[in-house]
Amino acid sequence: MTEPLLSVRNLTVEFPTRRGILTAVQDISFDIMPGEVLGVVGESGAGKSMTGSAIMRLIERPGRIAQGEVILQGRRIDNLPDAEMRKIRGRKIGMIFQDPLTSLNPLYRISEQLIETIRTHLPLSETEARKKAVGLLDDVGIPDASRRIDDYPHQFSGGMRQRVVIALALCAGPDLVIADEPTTALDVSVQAQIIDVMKRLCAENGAAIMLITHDMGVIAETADRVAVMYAGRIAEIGPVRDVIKDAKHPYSAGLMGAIPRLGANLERLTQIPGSMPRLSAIPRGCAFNPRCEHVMDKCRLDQPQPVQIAPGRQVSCWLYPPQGDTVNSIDERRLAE
Amino acid sequence: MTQTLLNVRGLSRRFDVSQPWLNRKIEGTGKLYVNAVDDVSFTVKQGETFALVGESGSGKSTIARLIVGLLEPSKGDIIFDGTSLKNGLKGAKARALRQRFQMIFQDPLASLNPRWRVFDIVAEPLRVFERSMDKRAQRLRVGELLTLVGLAPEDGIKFPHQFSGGQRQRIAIARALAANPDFIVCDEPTSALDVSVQAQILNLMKDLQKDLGLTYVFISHNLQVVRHMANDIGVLYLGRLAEVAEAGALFDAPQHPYTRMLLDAVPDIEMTGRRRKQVEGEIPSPIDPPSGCAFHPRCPLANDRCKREIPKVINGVACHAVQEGRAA
Amino acid sequence: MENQSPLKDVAAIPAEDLIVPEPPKGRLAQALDSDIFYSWRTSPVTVVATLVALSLVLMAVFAPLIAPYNPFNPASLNLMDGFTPPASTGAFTENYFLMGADNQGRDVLSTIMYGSRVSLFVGVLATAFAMTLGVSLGLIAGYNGGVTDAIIMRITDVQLSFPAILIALLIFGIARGVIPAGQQENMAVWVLIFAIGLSNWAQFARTVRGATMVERQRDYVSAARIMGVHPILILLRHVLPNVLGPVLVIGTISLALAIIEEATLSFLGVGVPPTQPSLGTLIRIGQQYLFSGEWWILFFPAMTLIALALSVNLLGDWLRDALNPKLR
Repeated sequence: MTEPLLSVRNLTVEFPTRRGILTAVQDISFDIMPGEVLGVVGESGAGKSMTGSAIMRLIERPGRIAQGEVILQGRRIDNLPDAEMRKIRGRKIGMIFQDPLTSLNPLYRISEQLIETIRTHLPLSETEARKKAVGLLDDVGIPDASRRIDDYPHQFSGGMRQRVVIALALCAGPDLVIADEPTTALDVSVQAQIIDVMKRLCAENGAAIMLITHDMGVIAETADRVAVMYAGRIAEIGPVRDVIKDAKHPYSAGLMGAIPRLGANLERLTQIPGSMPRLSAIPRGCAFNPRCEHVMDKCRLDQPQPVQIAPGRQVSCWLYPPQGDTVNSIDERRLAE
Repeated sequence: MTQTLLNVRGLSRRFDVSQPWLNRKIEGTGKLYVNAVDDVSFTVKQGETFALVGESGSGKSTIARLIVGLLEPSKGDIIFDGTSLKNGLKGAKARALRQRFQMIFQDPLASLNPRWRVFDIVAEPLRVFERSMDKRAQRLRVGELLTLVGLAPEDGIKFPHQFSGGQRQRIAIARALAANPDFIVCDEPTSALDVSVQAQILNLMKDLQKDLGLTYVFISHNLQVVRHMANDIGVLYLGRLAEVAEAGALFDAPQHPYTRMLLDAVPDIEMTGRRRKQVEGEIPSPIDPPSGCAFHPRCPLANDRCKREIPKVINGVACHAVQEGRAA
Repeated sequence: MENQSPLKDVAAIPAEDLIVPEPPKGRLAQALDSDIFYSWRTSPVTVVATLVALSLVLMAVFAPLIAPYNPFNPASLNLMDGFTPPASTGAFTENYFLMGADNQGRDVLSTIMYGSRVSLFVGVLATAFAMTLGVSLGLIAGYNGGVTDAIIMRITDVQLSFPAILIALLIFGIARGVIPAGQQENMAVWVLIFAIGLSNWAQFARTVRGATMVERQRDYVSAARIMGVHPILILLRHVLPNVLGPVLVIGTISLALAIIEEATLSFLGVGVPPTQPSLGTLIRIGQQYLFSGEWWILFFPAMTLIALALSVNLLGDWLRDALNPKLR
């Protein structure tokens, strides 16, 4: 039984405002195993980007981590002083952001940015770092890397820039890469290329990926496991194929049904009534209860806790209560009707 | 036999992206043009949905604006229900024609005036086209429209920023329907929305189409959405039509190499873990497009003729390889 | 999942339930709870500045009612009261002069009250004129672009490169030559308003032109254009409400500037006629006696002018920060 690479326990992120405290992430827990790809999917406002930022300690004031722990390779990193955290960022955890145009400084050449990052984390000389940088650009598939390394970001196309960003994230050899919507700003055909590059390189370097996106298709093609987030909480975690084919949480089930597919031309897509609540108006109990077709009285009062219903499969829903005496799953209820 | 409502013929639009006059004189460069849309032709039948699909630089948004008259074509013609729109719309006849088509935009926040109340926004087409309606009749009609799109009449007194993205798009749909058009151009209407909200809006649009007999021209980059909505699909690449086909045929048996590549590249949740061919290259810049067939640098079937000659659309496909029988 | 017909659903609802209600009248409670009011009341500098500005304005408006004496009624004056120091009584009339008396025996406090009246009158009207002219030209330039924009912007550039005082002097000089001598006194205030307005409109035009160019691209303007709404109506009803924010900020700062410009011109002797002295005139009068010891004739009007200009300026600063969406 291997130790998890990253362990998040009861993480809560809050934003104090003059109208009260807004909870962006509420009491979430999950693990990432070394070398695996965990997809974190959710709609806007679900808190997935906030989770990534919280792990990297990049939350803007006045937001703060109100409670919980983030444990990287057995060591707590959520309470480290800034200087220690800086050593972790880049070296142990790499980050890929959505917009390649703003991730790279337009005023500096690619070579300068890569070499600076490499030398911050690794004791290499200028020439050694440059050689490593060219090698990385080659790995991510930039043609004529030894010449193009001296170009500026604006001389690259969007897809090329994102490859450079991937190279930057991996240059210090991190064990975990957090990718926040890495393909959203790219064209469809380029998306596929970038996903391939990311998967291949991370597999080669033994790095795990936390892939944050709203695009379930990307997760289906890339991830091993997926965590579905809703209103700052994790609704369900499990292997990708299982969650897609047989989602247990009513929200995940509705979400999978709402996504149009290339296959059959359906008459209607599954429609979940209403929309995700604003952070200032999260309902009491289970956040999904106003929109859930299986809602019970308990759902309106208490927040459901995560329950492991199978190895590697976890749901937070009162249809799957912890003690398991009356297991009224969706399937059993349907049989009863 | 459904009649043709919209007939687009040889539509082209060129943009002048030259440097300012002084710079050109000093640097000795000539004028620079971008052919955003080049010789595009298609027909749309009444009551059906025609989708235009493409990535960035394909010209799909430009075509949308050309159809509704926000831009004028450089070449070619747009014939709406028998009337040519080429020379713009002027006069009383124009007003009658304008009433029949409307547009829904991509960004629901930007398409509603943030300073106006929802009632005024939805009632604007009534004020322009149905001038004889009195205030009370307007209030009734707006209330009807808001209820039709799934909101409440009381929402009419609120401002756009008080609504979510999906609700704003419903308001935009209500506004588009106010003057009873029969033709709506939808420019990426759900691209800015979350998946579950997108499902609501797409279902609503389909229901309304059936109820009111609407004709849609649906612009999108999302192939799955297009699969769900369209009867016929046109695939654009750098301003030119690569393939035009009925939806089922396009997805089951795509002919153009670009269409095949696109369908292969799209991440889809049905097809977890399928093997895919590596996709080559990126979309070239529209300012300096490749010669001949714009797709030839990335096409596995390109030959010399592809580098020299722009393929014409024959039997719905613009590809030399297909015409020469080289495509498998 | 059965198909739904939104049309049938709506037809089933009775008419009274479908009508959009009237908007609520009570906006005061909403305004008091808003973010802008919160930012106002938590900034001590702004609150003080608002109170100072408000009291000076009230003082000016109600001057005839609250001034202890009417300083411009020759019958009530007596030269023997002249140069009475502050907080003492006049030698001849036994009047109490809180801020002393000037060379002609006028109560300085009263002259300040009446003087502020003139200053504010000229300042507010000049700013209103500049705002109207600048905003209109800015809207036209921003919306039309091209040659119109180029011409208007070059005029703006030229105007901005001249110091405001010079422009005002120029206008004044022309007016002196054009208006017959008998009319000059009556017209002086209006010429002054015209002159100061004409020297301040450029800032409005620049800002509004930039904001208009941004708003013009937005989809809600496109939606109105598709409907065929006349460009002037689009400018007035759609664009103008959305570009007014920066205009208010510049307006307050411009008001402060206009007041000071008027004071400067009056100080130089080319502003308001001596029969309607403004704060600037008072400063000119007071300056003559500063070094002979009667400091109060200059000091109190100058302090009033500073307080007025400064408080209006600070209000403008706060307004700019409060309305800046990036800082919110």
